[in-house]
Amino acid sequence: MTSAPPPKGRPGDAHGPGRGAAERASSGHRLTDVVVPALDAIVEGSWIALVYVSLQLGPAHGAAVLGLLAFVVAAAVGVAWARWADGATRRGSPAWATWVLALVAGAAGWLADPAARAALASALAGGAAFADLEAAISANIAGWLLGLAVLRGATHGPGSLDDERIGAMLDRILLLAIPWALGLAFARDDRPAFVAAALVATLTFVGAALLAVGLARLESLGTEAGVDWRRNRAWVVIVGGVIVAILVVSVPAALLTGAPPGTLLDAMWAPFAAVAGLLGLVTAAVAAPILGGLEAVLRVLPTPGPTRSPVPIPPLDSGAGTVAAAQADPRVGLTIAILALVAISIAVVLLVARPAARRRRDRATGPGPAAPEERAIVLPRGLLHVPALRLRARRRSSPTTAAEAYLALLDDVADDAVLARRPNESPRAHARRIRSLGVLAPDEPGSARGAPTAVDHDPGADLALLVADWELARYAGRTLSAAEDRRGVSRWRRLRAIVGRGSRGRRRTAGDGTR
Amino acid sequence: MSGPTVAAIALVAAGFLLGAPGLGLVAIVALLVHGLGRLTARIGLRGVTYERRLGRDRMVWGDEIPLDLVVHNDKLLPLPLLVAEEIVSQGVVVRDRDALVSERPGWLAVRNAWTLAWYERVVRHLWLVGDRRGRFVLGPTRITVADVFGRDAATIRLEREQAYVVRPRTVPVLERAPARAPLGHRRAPAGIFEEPTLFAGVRPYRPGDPPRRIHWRATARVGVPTSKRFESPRSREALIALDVQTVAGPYWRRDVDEERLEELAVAAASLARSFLRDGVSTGLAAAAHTGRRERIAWISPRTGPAQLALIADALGRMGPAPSAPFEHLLASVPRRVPPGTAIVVLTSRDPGPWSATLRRASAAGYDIRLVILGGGAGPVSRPARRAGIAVAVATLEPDWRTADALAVVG
Repeated sequence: MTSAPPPKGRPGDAHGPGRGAAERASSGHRLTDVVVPALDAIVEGSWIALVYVSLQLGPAHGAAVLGLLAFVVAAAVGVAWARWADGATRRGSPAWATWVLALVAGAAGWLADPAARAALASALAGGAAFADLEAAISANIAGWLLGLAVLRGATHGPGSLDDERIGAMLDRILLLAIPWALGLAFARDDRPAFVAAALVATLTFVGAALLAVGLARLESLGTEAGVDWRRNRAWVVIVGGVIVAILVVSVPAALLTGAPPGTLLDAMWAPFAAVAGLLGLVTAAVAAPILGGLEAVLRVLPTPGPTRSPVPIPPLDSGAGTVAAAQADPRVGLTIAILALVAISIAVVLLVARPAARRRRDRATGPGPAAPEERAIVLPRGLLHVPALRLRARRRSSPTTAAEAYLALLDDVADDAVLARRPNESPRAHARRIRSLGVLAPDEPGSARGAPTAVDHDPGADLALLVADWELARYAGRTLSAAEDRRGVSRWRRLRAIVGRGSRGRRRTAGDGTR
Repeated sequence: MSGPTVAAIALVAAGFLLGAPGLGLVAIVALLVHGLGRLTARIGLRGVTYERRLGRDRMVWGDEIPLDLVVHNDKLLPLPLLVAEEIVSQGVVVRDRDALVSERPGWLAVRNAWTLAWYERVVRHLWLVGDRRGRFVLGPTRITVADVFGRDAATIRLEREQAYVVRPRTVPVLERAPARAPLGHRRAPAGIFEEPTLFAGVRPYRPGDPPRRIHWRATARVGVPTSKRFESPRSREALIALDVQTVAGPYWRRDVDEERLEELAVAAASLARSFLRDGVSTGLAAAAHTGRRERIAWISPRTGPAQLALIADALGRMGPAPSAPFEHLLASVPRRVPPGTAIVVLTSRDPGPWSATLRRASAAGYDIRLVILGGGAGPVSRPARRAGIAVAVATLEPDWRTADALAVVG
């Protein structure tokens, strides 16, 4: 027994039998599971890197030993930790563990500077402990921001609203002016270095944030709204185009303010370098065990013995009479073995990985939420007017048969609003209407008496016969004789002279009336 | 001009004056991003048309009807993201789409999103699934245009609503004891009483037809002996009085056994189809709201192909809770139909409280038939039998979704 319970949950939660669509679609989001978190890490890492260089080169007057990549990697560690902990425990990452991780990262960032390490070692060894400790702390104090990167990255767990979070950061982009102002105010001699590093971090932040917020928003909509950015090339093109346009506009604008061109070039490459660095780290992590195994295999292989390398044959006239035995280079065999192993490895990887990748791709693009669609570009009527005229002009201007003569006559009157054949008008009805209008009267005032129109032929009859020819040829499938075709063309010439004169007159009258 | 814009312009100026490229860069990027959002907000919805096309406004349970969503961006500015959120009533199921919890209490939301190029028109084909009986509403619609970074830029609300009805399914009626005619009298193929002024058509000649009954012109035309048919002077009428209350107790408690209510709807539709197929003028009466002002759903007895659609529509629109006591409905029936009408009372509960009403109607000349739905209706039907009311028990086995017949035992 039920009494129609209302749906519960917050707006946007999936409800009802259609939920299967979300589950199907989520199976194909592996790529997004990597791309959006990677962009999150780049965004978080880049703004913290900007703060780092502004503090380190500004008030601290030290050296900026940590680059953008270090902060991106630290943020990526935080993101990965949060997501892994959420998947493993289903309760999110424990706070204490995140803080420990951040503390370790902060310490690593602090001690990344050799001066800090040396001062710390000196303090631990005794002597002027306080002075050394103070020197160690002040050497790379902003290095602790690496821990902040981990903490910020850890906030991007799987349950977090990436689009809202990054969107809010983008809305506060003007806050980046604070580290910029700080760095410019305090970095005296290091100002060029600060500008170079800060520009790279700023552009990376902007590019990654713009892409991340759009991607995350579209992804959050994708499951229930039928939008899949992997299939939505138009969206990808628009987003990419706008980001490139923003960078293309803003970088030269910054150039006008005095930024060195080399720095700007570096800045343009920085996002790609950051992504390449992340990919390199992942590749290294994957390749290390493979290379280790390869090395072990090579050790097991029998080492090729020393071979004799070929000795140039002395000229016959030298009188030596002996040919030296050829000796091979020992590295050749090893090289061949390595190449063979690499080829085998690649073949194995291809054989194993390709079907799996295809299956994954099929799953991703398979029966997802995409509904069948029809897309068409519907231009306004004004834009379609000119092509229509062009199409009509393609028809032959000089007919050779009676049927062509009738079509040519239709072309001749097409621009005349009165005489043109209407869409719902049969040829016979059209001819009847024209005759009823009186424009084909043989004794029309002002008609050219020299023309062979009104003297021997009735134009109304000409039109009726031309229509009859057309009906015979078009609808009855009859082949008209050459004589009939000739007569049809003659009728067209006579009618053309009359309707052309009439149309010009009507246009003149209409023009007068509009003035 | 908004605060962020002013701040960004000030920063651009400061960057130029101080020779600080970073300040200028940050401000220019902020201006561009902000400006793009403003531009989309200002003209994003210009020239955008959205249309919802329902293939039909009725379907039978388990069926599907096409739903086309047409969206057109009639301007030069492409739209990176256009989201249409349809607010729909509970029970609307769109194939391959999740129904989300809406901000409007008790309603759901179905979202669709598109990326539209300049002057692009997209027709998305969806299907509405008749997952449950009822009247369902689509709309209003909230159209949101987002800028290229997915941030909501402009929103408009379209108030146009559309409704569709999911009718109950019908199954054949199997009468286990046809000799007793538990569902009332069938219309005889050739009535004893025929009104010769009510010509009803022709039929093939049968041996025994008098010569004056032969339709000579039709015989000449078709080449075989053909006889005339005439309407009966008084055709049979049946009214299905449906008791939508499924749980014992006062009707205003509004407790509903939804499965039993669906069974009742399927049984009523099946009986109506069976009657109409046999040529019986059939009507429907139920104390339930059907989306109209009247508290009683009333379809007068008629024949014809449209009558089944009318009855099925009323059953489809029928709400889950009774709108009045069933006794009141039964008491009002004699005022609406003439004596001699067969009143088939379809219920799933003990008829005790209104058996006196049935007896009075029977005494007034109505042909009362009580059909109790449910396998365990034996004990319930005994008091009615003792009161002299013809009782039949109907079952849908194994359930109303998969049953292939309505078994009626009288």
